[in-house]
Amino acid sequence: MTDISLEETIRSFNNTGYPFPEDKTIHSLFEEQVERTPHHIAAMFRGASLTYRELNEKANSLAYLLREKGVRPDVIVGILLERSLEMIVGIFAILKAGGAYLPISPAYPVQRVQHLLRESAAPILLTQTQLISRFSIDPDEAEVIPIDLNGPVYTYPTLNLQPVNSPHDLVYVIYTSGSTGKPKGVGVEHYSLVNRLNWMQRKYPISLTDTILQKTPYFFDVSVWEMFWWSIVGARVSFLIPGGERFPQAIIETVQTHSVTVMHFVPSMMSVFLEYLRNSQSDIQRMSTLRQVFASGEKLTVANVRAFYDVLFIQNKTQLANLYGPTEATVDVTYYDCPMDDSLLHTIDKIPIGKPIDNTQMYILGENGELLPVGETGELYIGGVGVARGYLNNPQLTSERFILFNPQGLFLQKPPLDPAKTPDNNPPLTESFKGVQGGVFQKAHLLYKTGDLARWLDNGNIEYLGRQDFQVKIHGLRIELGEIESVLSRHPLVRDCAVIVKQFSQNITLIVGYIVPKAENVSSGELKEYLKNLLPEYMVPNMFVIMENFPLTPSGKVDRNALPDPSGLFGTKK
Amino acid sequence: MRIDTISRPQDTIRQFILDSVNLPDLDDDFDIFETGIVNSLFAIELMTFLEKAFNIKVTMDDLDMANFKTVNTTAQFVLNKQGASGV
Repeated sequence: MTDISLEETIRSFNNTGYPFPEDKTIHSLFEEQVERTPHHIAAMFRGASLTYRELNEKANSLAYLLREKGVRPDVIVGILLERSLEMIVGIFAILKAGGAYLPISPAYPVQRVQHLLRESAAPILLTQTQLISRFSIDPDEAEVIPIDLNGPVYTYPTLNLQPVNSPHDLVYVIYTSGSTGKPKGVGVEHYSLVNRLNWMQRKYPISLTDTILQKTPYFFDVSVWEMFWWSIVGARVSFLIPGGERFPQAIIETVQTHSVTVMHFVPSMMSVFLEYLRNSQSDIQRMSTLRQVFASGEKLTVANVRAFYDVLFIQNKTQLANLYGPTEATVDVTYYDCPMDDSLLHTIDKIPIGKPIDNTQMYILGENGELLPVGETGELYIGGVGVARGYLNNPQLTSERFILFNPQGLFLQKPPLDPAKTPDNNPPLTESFKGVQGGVFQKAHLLYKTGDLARWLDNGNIEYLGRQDFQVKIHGLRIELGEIESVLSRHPLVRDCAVIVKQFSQNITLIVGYIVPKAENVSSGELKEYLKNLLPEYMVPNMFVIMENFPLTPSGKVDRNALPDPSGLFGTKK
Repeated sequence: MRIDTISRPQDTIRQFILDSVNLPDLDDDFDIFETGIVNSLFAIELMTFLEKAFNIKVTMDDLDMANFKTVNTTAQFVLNKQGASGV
């Protein structure tokens, strides 16, 4: 294959241009929807609900307060809540005020909450009264405002606010694990999210009769489409009870009660969920409203898809799509519709992550940045409107991972206008696309370097092949082992440490910490307590192995492959 | 899977856990979640097994992890469910 035909092939795989409402913010699209369906149910939680108008008025009222307190475009506002109606009221209030929301887990240790607020310079933290006592936030650092719906804060006007945002303002900041020991905040702009949602609605249309389950913890970016997609098309969202994401019984109950039609699973959870369902025809029946499942967050296997076919497709005709994307590229950048075809599922051995979504380009590059042809494994780079603004307050890391595109301008293209649409809903292209030829520094020039290994298949699908580094995923949660090691190594009794992930069985994957202590009296319980004060629970190693010294490679590094298997170390005889 | 109805539920439950985590043996009071030998997904696998092996239904009211933390607590949970449903 000559270079020219290689370029043409990759260009054809990336021919994804499609118009989207790029002059809009996500909250302006919601406000337009409120006008269309004011009395339709918007959000449900347990037995309570809000109509579009009620949600809009609550959010407006709170937004006036936030604006009075100084919230402006690109001001980050923290929000720390359990799943509830307050969650969506608070998020829309932050956006309407002009700011960007920073979701924080109520389960995070206090020190991490304080760190996130400080690092993002968030002047305000929205929360619920029941959670306030758990956190001691210095009032000089951030003002804590409880936003309980039956509380006293909703005294401001309920009309829509004067818009202050451009589509290139931040909509949210989500922190992910950072290998150097500190979490890194990814800032995403409105227009990236609007494109992502517009694509999803185009590809998997939902309407007034649909309900999306909000199940993903809101500090992971998968939650973003659950949080907003329904709101721009007149559908509904159902907030699963707090903690319910861990239990099939809670999920089944909510799907049935709120007639959920669309939901997400991380593959490992989907796997155990399907095995649970397989036992019970009546439980499968209770899931009969479910039309579409999206899987992402970790590798989806053929076995997962076969189980889905057996349990949910056969009886309920539910469909399954596999999505892929890092937080740095706005939730998802590729999609693949899993074939619901029993004989086909017995002939394939891998599920691809699929093809790029609207206005998105994927590149698989070799070690010298050269384009790789179909079939060759390289690192995956992402370009297009989904590429995030970068890491908050971290220009160095941003420039390492968000890379200026090849100045020759190869592969850059303008999305074609849709001739089927009227000029009114077929707006002009963004400056970022127009500016591509001009060679000016524009967002469309940036590629995000994922660290993921992949290859092209003949038909333009991409196959995911793992990580280049020590980033791991457990139940879809992204974890840099280096961050855990960095925090662990600061413990006064730790001389040396290594953290690995070990798969014990199909669904049991655990984090194991290996320690060489400075003194003999360090216990794994003490180390766990120490880490729980500094890291989210899901990053604390499940078990520790205390060693006298580490096996080393010839170059003197810890030989991770030679660390002892911890499963033999449980002397649990009766 | 056939379950010997004469054996104590402890034996059945312990064997299931041992098969899952590849351990040589397990004390019936060993907290499998707190000690980190299993994760929250395993709780679902365990419930799936219990429903099938003991012909019980785990409901919304049963979703307290304390029910499943050791072989003994899990066995007690099973006996309570069977007693409640008149099995």
